[in-house]
Amino acid sequence: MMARILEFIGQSIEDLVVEMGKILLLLVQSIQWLVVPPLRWRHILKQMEFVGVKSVAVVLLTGAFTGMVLALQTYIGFKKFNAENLVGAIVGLSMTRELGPVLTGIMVTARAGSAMAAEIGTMRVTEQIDALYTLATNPVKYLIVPRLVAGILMLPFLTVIGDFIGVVGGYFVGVELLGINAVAYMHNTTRYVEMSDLINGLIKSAFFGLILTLIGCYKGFNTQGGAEGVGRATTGSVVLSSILIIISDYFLTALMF
Amino acid sequence: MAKIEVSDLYKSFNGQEVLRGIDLSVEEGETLVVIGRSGEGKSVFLKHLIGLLKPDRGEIFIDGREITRMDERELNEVRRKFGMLFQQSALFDSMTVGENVAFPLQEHTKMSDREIAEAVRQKLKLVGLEGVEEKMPDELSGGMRKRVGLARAIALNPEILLYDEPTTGLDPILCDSINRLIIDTRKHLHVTSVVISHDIEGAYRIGTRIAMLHQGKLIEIGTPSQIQSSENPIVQQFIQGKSEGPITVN
Repeated sequence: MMARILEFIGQSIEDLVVEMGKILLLLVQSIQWLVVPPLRWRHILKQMEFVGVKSVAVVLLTGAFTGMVLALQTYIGFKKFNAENLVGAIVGLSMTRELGPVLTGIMVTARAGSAMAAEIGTMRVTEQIDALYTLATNPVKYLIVPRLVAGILMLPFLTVIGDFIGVVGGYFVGVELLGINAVAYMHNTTRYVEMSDLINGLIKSAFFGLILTLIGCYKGFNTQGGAEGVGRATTGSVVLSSILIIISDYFLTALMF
Repeated sequence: MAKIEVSDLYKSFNGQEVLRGIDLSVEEGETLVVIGRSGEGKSVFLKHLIGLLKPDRGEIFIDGREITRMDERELNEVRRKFGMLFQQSALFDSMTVGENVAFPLQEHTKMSDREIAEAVRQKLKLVGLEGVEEKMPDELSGGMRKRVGLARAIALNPEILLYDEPTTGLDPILCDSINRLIIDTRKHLHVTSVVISHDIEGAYRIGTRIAMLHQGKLIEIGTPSQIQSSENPIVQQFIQGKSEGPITVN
């Protein structure tokens, strides 16, 4: 019994290490193909629209409500020692340093990363990827490189929007609903939130953009077994991307702050 | 020099040997039909010829150049000599018919948009389609998709055409029209063709030679009439379509 459990754990770890190796290999290949001309700007722009522009609504919604609930929660706690005026600073710091990048990353994973896995996975099982090879077009360069570039470029952009709307949401709840002094609220926000907080958050978000597009493409590219396989690739990409975003968030934070 | 030369090709998946020592040469301008039961590795064999799969052992020469050890960039050069028609056509479903056929021209030539549009129209006409450029692949019937797939495969005027079960899943009339198309394409473009099929009647019509793949080996190769009069009981059982004989159905 014990041996079986150990074998299972060992096998799982081995599978994970092998998969991480393959993902890294795909990243290396992508970088190699990125520097081979031509750079497909038209494809990159199309993906930027898909990853970025079309995610704005979902980022606005999650950002606003996150800022709002953050203000509500901190108000309840801070009121106990008369520090309500600091609610704005907490909302601003939490949004820019942590919640903006991570929540944006996870929302875009759910929206765009999963769609990439499904689209590329369907192309794999219907032999469209093989067709690209036979037409002397490398699918890593054609399909994956533009998606990675779009993810890295657009996530910081979306995160800025999420940060901003979160702060606005926090202000609305703190000042308009809970009656915190508007001047004190804004004063503390601008006093404690520094440019470096914002920029470090944006650097993290670019990493998350890489992670979610890389995993989405990897899972799609390695899809096996028809419609069921596409389903597995799609859920697999969301789960793995979300986990990697949250784990890498800790290490990136520890490294930068 | 043979157009395609395959020597001692082995391939296995998860420990199961699919190809067990294939030797074959295809001369310029001929149409070789590889027949055999489903699941015998015919498609696997075809995918080796264009470098979609790497063999475990053996060599493949295209115009005298060995391709199994080439890197991706060298392979892409060789692949430009090829066109391939897939079993399910493998059209890019996010593009229109016109964009599908235009794809290889946009990727590999410096033609202007107008020249490309004209070339697309011509290639579609060659496969018997007109005025379908703006349609999406899912608006087409299976037979039309095959034709579009063929138009895309011949867009760059390839020297070698590979067909993966071109008539599977089509009704007899469509089968005949696709077979006729394969013959016409060879005549018009003077291409060397390798066709994978288990449609034996079609094989007699389109093939200059027929090879039978059985248990990972080519057990017989010859002209259609040689195949018809083969003394090999396995070949006879297959071409007569009998369930009783040396090949057991499981």
